[in-house]
Amino acid sequence: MKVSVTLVGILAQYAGAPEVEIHLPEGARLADLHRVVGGRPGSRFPSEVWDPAAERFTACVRTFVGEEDVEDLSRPLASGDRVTLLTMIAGGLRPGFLPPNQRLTEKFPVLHLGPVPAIPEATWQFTVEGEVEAPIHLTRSDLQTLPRTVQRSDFHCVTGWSRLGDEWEGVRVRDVLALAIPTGRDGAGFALFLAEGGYTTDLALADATATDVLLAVKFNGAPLTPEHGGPVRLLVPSKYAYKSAKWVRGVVLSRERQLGYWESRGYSTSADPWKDDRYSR
Amino acid sequence: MSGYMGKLLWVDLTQGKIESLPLDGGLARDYIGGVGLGTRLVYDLVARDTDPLSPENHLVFAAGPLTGTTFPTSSRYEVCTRSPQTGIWLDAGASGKWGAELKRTGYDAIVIHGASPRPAYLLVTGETAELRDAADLWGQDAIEVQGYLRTRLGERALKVAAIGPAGERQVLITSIINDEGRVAGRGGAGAVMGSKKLKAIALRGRRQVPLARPEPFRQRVKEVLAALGRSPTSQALARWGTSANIDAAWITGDVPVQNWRRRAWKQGQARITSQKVADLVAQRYGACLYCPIKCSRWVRLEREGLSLDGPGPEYQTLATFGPLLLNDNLEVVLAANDLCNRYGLDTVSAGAAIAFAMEAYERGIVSPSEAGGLDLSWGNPRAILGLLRQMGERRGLGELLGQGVKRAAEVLGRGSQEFALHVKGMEPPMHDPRAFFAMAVNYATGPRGPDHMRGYALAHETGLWSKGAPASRFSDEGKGEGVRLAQDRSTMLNCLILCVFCGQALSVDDLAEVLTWTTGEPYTGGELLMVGERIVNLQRAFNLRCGVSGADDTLPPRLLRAAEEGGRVPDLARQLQDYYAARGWTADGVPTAQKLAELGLGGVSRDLGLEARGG
Repeated sequence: MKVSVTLVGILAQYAGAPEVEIHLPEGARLADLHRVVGGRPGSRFPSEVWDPAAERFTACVRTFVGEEDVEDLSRPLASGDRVTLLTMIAGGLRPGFLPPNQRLTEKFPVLHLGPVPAIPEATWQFTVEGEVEAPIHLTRSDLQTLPRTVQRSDFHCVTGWSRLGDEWEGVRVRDVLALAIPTGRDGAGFALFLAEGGYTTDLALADATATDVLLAVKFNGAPLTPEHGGPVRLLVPSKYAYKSAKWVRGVVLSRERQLGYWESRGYSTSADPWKDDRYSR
Repeated sequence: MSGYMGKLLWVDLTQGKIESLPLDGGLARDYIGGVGLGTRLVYDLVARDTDPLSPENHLVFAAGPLTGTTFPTSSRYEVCTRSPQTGIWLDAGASGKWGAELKRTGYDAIVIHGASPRPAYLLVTGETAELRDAADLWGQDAIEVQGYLRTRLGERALKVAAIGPAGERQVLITSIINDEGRVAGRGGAGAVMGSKKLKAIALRGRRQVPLARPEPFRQRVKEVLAALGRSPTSQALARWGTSANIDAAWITGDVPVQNWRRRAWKQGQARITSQKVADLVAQRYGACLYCPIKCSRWVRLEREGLSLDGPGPEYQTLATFGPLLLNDNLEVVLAANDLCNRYGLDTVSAGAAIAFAMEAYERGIVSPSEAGGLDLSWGNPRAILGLLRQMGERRGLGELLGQGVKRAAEVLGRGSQEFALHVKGMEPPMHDPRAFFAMAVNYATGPRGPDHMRGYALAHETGLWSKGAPASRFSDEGKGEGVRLAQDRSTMLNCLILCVFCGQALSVDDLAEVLTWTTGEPYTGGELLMVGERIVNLQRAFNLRCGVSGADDTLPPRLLRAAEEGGRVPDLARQLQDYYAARGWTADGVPTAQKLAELGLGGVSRDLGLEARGG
């Protein structure tokens, strides 16, 4: 039988979709629905809402069949039932929990300029130069001495797909820049990030030093793979993802903005997904 | 003791005298800080016959031992007094940055009494505390005055808590506003400040809060930050703000519609959603000091006849100015929120008063001429915003509505009491006890009136923050004990002080450990809950002294009947009986001498005359 399931707000984000249609054998019960929805490939329910051992949602997820709030998971289901799963502080219903003209995906497409470079961790270096008082060269072991941050962030590609709420781990760019001491008043206002293969991207210094901008080393708990920018990529969650340069190797601070690779080819330098700000004007 | 600054600032507005006195260590140990400290001080300082708007009423602004540290969500303060709206106990809390700044000036609390002969504001820096003339501030709105003071004093980092023109006029449903839109709401603390002609308290400090054991404290801060980052509730709050409540509330029937007559409204459900709020928000994130959740929102709107640049609405405001009034226009909600913040009106009480007026109008109890020419039809934007202005300026029908629905109905008469929804004179917040039964006894017994923040009983029934299976939301079973525990716990959090969104996620043993590392005093989880229980009992004693009895522990009749669509209703009498038993109170809702003695409140027994009666 076919049952439609609505996931409200934050659960939709974990599921990768606000609505799913599932097929269950005749005689299936709510517990079976939990198992199928929670175990869907590509879903990323954290342990606070999903108990993988018991294969059911935890107590903070409420299950409605139609308008009835059902606490007994042995309740049988019927074909055509509409089931809603929610937490009490759930957040928005669809649509619109994405920036304009973006679609949600559970995949992580690989898009970049040129081939995937092979960068041994041992030889990786990151330089900070330009309008700084003390230019630096960080090695991978230097990077490991800096405080790590783990955060959940969204990722919006300018080609129109978005991933929501992935776990990223890394070092804040602001902490790295602070080591080099950007020159003060009338000094550094912009940052041009340099990556392997000649790719560049630019940010206002204020954007580059936002608390959620990372030199990311882990994605959903695992080291970043080379095709996703490993060993170290830039992560700028509040901008389209061409700002989140893969295989990042350094940054040059300057008084004047120097446009990056895509920014000098017609793409927006401010790149705010919530303003549909894709192209330079 | 670490965690404390060790001083209270006493301000006598009548004499213009300010002195700094040491914080009593025993008081800190027994009441921790925040609402606990405020409760003990107000209980001791405010006599049973004190008019809340007289110089004799006291107003205590208190921080807690965690306030001013880097512990997540700890930048809060509590203001305690006798409420002019209800005539009983009042504590109101707010977050932002003001609470932390209070500690940085070197004080744990400011105790204010008397009344200034002319408008004044209090300036406290690390070095001085002085009363200054506020003639040019009087009349400014509660948000603009904050910027004005910063500019005038040349202190960009000045933190200001202020009242708006409604508080100055002693409108009874007024709040105190700090940090451009964080609000100590409910019960009329703004009117108490207004009666004392105190426009604002401005703070600037640079002191550090001493920690007894900084290393384990910092380690725990890291762990809590990581746990909050993983929490689905925090993630929803980060994405949608507290309006994240409303989408589930529509489905569970938790959001009241049309002055609590209904529990469903399809048109509103489609149009009042947290995502639609997010779509109108200019800046997605804003945070209180040391809070990783960032549930604040900033709104900018430019429309014909409407120009907004201020904080976005919280869930309570969204539900009040939306479904409660049958209004599906979000921009009107945003405009109403902005007006309330600027006038310094409590959004829940102001919105509930408008719902009351609209129902009175519908029934012909309020005539078009009494409404001052406003068409008070349900959801009419002009009526909503027009009545708010009348309340803020204390004129027309707004003069009456600004006293809250209980007094408004008493004056209006003509059967309007039936739909004036309040408990002990305060309008209930936007969670329907017919959807979550524990809220019934929680509203009926809340020390300041019906409350969702002091006793987050919903958590007990929703699985939010609890490890075990939640209690069934439509059962009365076990709700007395569940609510007792929820009230004690919330009260204890308001002593530390921590925001509900962080504090509820931690176990009492974890909290005790953090408090031990902060203060150097050993605490256990059980002791912390006992502090909460002590304070709830002391607040109850304060209310009994003000004339409250068990007969006042009730709900408006409309909430004890099914909504128009049908549905279940809680058995309040049964819940109350269980609650009193769980509290160790008599069947009339009076703490026994034995219970008070257990809590170290023997003197309170004498105040209540319990010993003479054999308690």
